[in-house]
Amino acid sequence: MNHPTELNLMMYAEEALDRNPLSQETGADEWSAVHEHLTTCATCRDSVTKLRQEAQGLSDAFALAVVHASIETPKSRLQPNRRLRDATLATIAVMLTTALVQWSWKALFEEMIFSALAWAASTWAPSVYTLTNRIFLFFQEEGLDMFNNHLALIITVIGLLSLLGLRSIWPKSRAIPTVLLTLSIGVTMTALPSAGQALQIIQQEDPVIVAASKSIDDTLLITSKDATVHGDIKGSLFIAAEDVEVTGDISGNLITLADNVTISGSIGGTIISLGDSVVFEDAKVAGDLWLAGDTVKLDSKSEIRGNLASFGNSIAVEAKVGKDMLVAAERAVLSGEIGGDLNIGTKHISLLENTLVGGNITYRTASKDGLVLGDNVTIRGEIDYQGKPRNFPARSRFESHSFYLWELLWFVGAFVVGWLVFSLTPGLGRIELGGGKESITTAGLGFLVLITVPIAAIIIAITVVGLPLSFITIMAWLTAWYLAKIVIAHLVGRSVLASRSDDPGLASALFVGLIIVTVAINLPFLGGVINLLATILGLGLMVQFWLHRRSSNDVTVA
Amino acid sequence: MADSGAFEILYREYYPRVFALCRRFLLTHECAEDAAQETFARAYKSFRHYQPVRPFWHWIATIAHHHCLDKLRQAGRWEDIHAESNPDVDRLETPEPLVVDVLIAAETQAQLNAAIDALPEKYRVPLVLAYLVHLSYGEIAILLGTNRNHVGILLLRAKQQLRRCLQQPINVRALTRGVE
Repeated sequence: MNHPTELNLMMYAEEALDRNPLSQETGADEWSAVHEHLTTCATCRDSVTKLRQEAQGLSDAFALAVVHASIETPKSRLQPNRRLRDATLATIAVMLTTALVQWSWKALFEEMIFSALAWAASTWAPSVYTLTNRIFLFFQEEGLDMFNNHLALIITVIGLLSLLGLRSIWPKSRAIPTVLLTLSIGVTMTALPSAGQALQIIQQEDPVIVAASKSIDDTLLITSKDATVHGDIKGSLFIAAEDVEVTGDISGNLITLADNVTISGSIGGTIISLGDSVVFEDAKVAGDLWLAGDTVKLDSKSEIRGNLASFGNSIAVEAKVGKDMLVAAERAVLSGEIGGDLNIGTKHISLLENTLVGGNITYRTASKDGLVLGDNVTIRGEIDYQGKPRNFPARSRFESHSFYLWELLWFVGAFVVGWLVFSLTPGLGRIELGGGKESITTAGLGFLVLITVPIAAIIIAITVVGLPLSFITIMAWLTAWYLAKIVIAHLVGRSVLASRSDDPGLASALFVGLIIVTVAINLPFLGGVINLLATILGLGLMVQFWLHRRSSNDVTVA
Repeated sequence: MADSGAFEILYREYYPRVFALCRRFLLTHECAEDAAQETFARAYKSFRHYQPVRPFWHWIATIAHHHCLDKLRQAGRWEDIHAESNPDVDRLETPEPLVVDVLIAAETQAQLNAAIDALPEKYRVPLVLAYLVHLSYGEIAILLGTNRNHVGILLLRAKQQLRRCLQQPINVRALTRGVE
């Protein structure tokens, strides 16, 4: 009798012989041959049993050796590296955050926002040609600084991303992190402003008084009950208090948030002031004025070289305004000189004697006689009455041709966009709205996105990360908002056509769905609710689709 | 990247086993400790790829034996396993397999460890992969770049040498190690 080799017996014992007849390695013949042999050979059966025991014994012996081995677990070498790395990163993060706060004050507030405001003011609603001309001139004069600041922001973000990359590859090698660290710190420091742009913060309950003899070379931020600034500030001044009085010279911008504001100093930049009462007494302002208050008063000794925009209940301007003036108030009494145009919407407007308006007057009052002109009032431009201040009787939108035109445009646009989106993302066209509980979850998710994303974008805009990211967030949110109803329309169209065909086709489903949704959201009384519901459900479905797709990708990667 | 606290717990629980595995491959305490630490460092870095449905031991043992094989190859200690040829199979002796009691008896444990350490790498590595890491013949074959039959030959050779070592006095075993 030919016995199988020990190799065959061992592989049989350890189930390593392939039973697959197509196998070219060992083949089913060997397994079958061994198996058949074992049915008749007691010696080989005994060998197989012993070989199995030996294999099991080896496994047990290996396991036992591990258990009995008195191995003292050393301290993980990960820990010191990790702590060192975390400490290093924390130090870098603190350094960057401190520098970014300092930088953002200068770059975001003083340059970006004020530049934007200056741009808005300089392009003050004249003709298209003038507007284009002014935009060109503005960018020629100021654009480089704005570009530099945005560039600095982008470089800083890249620096931070480099740090994140550094964190992920730190344990792998020594050379690359060192190079990356040097690079990221280098570009970040390059992007940061000079040390001269410092910030002083005074925060206390007691009144803050900056004496006339005192001069501050930094930007100053004051939060207290009362604040009085007699000294000079060679930077910008931000004050949040109940009562604010500024008599000193401010070389930069002035922002006040207070109940009562009195300004009588010289301001080199723009003023933004919000309060119950905002009073200017012998104030000289080189930039623009943005005022909002119950009572706004500018005395005859005050002089504004830029534009004046004021919103409030009562406004009295005796001051000289170098450029244009925009007023929205219940009552307005103007005198003095206005270098540019006067645009005003109010119940009562009085131009007192000797008032000079260098440009045109555009006004809205209850009647054309609402504008009262005193003696010797000089108006070099034209007077244009534009009717009542926006309280036209409501007219049914269905009576307007433009309503149908706009709805048709929306329909065509939505169809084209929807067709493209669903063609490029077929998965989005297969999503379904679940049952009661799932629908509520979807709606809740959509509502959350609808509310929180713009808030997050605003927070991003005013904190460290900056305007570009905020802009991208808002754009993404608006796009999702637009697509939400299209997604719902496609879903509705599929549901309606499902009874006729298993696969109704993209164009048919979209066409039918958009007709139904367009009609539904324009229904009297119910249209608004349906519109909101369709929007939040659509947003919720898109977010769920995105999350599902992302988790699927993660699983695939893992 | 793993949660540091949770990973520390896994480290404390599995370090002895990982160390023992690396020790079986690399033989010296220092090399094994370095390899075990490197194994945990790699596991920590790629922890996001770990799927909890799979036992942690299987996952980290895979990282460990891959690393150990790399170390052996880098050190030039990896012998040509293909030197074992099929025609030799038929001429293999068929001594009695070791009984389980002998293999796991406390007094023979030290001898068994010494005998395993004395095996050439080409026999020791598949033995460790088969009976400590519990890889199948097919998995070992893929790892070593050979076929399943060849893995069987290597394992059989390893066992035969172990049997011979455990049935000989210590001094003779020491001598035969140099012959292999």
